[in-house]
Amino acid sequence: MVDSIGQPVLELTDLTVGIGSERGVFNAVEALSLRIEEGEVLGLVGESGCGKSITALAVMGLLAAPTVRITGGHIRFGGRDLVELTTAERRRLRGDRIAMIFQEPMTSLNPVYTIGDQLVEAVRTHRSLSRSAAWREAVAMLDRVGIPGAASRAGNYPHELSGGMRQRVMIAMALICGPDLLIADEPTTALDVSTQAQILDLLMALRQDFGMAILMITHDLGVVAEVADRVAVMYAGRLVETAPVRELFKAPTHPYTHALLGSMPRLDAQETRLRVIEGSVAPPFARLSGCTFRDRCQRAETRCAGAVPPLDEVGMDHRARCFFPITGAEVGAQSSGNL
Amino acid sequence: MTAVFDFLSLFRHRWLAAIGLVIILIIVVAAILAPWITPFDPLKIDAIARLTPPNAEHWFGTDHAGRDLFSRVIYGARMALITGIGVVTIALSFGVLLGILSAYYPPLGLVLMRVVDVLMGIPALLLALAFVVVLGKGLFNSMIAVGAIYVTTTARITYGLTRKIVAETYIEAVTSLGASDLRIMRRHVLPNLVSPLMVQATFIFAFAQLSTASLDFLGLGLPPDVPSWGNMVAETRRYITRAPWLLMFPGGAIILTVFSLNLVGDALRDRLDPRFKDDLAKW
Repeated sequence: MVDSIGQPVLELTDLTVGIGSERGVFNAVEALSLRIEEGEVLGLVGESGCGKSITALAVMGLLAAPTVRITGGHIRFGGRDLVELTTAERRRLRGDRIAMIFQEPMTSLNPVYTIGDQLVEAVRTHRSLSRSAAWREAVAMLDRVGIPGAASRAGNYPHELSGGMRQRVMIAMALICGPDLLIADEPTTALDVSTQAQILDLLMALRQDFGMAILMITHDLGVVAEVADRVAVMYAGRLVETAPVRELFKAPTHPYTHALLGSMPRLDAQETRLRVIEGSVAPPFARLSGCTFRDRCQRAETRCAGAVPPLDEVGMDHRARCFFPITGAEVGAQSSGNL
Repeated sequence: MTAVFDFLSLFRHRWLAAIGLVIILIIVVAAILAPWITPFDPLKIDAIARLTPPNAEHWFGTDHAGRDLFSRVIYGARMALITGIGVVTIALSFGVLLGILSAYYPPLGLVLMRVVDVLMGIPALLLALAFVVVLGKGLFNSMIAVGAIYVTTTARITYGLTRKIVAETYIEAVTSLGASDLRIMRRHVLPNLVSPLMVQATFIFAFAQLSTASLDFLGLGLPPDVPSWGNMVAETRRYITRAPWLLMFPGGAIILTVFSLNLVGDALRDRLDPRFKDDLAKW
């Protein structure tokens, strides 16, 4: 774990992303503030539809305009506010300073080009290199991400590679220009468990070499525990808790985080059934007033409906958005019982 | 070279499609070699030999001006290929451009696709006639007129395919690497359109034969002295009760060409989209 002492690479302040529909504009992400320090791995966790992928796309500048767009807030990256940049300026940053890898390695590569060609294209989009120089870089990068026989593999088409190999190629493409920030959107979800571990190890090793920060988007708390320095938990478009990874796992303060951790399968548990969080995340157009988690929360009281709880400091670098946060003493007492 | 073998392997177990391919090749070779293989000048009038039935000298007989029909049908193949290539070129270049731009820029697509809808509502031949009325008669104008019909269908198909390709994760991936719209269209969308549009091109080529022949028959296509199959059918229609071969040979040439092209097109389509494959595919 790296101490979070560096400069922020990325800083989101009150980022709000609206989705337009026939029923009006709804906020998929609401007043989200986050910061990622240099070389830090931030795990962004939440259920499907909580706004974590939209956040990633907003940072990339890849929101499906005009339906989905940033309606407020700032995205500061490298001393500039990305919200104010032109389309062309944003495009120059993409793949060069900020890169992204996706969930589906099977479909993330164009089937009609060799992987070498696709890497060459990735380099030459941002660097004026000759084709042969770019090819050498591509092969070196493939070698770096652990593709055996990189020089000959570069001539392969995507369908000739396994899922894990393809995800390595995607990582090579994303990192070939040496970005300051890598956004990894569920990079291991589509892979089998042993491959998952290899890809995570690779990302961690590359993080050291390239000195880049990683925004790791996932719903898998196991992944977060393994790689993240800090964790941010989102629920229904809002940040509900953020803390250093150890702190979050040891003392989850927000009832949602607590429930999320409780629903993780444990090898040492006596129970035969997995614990689940009752209900589901409300869609953006049907969100509750006040705290959006209150309909699924056993601690909810009338106060929770009245106002959105503020993101309060509950410990060292630890903040939670709850009127009735769970205290350390409670966690200890409840570890055997139910919440 | 592998591409050629790959293409030929399409026809291995499909003798009907293979026959189609052979016929097309014969027509192409005949068109290219027309000046050397035709026994007579296709334009030479011979008043004494007019309306001669097929015989050993005039294989397909002669027309009302005594011109050798065999030579004229072979020269007609040239016109068929030229107009076919012209129509396909026009239809694909404009259709693909409009289709991709429409798919890429939704507001533009909204307008363009509605225009396409309107044009597709007009009977094809009527649309071609409208173009001829505005542009005038002639080889290029009839290619433009017929090409315009198929610009609409090509644009529609390209639009749908492009929408599908653009939604693929690899497009999102290259966008996230900073590729520009133009680069994505040229490098990533276009190559993925090639195979489906090849199939489309075959069918356009086939239907272009029918449309241009119709224009010629109506006297709105090529000048009457040009030996196109449509013109031949048109100018001899007054004699067909006395000389049915005048209708049979040029008409047969049109049918054979269209039929063969469709057979090849079907084989190509089945290769690209196996879902369409049915029992007929065995042939």
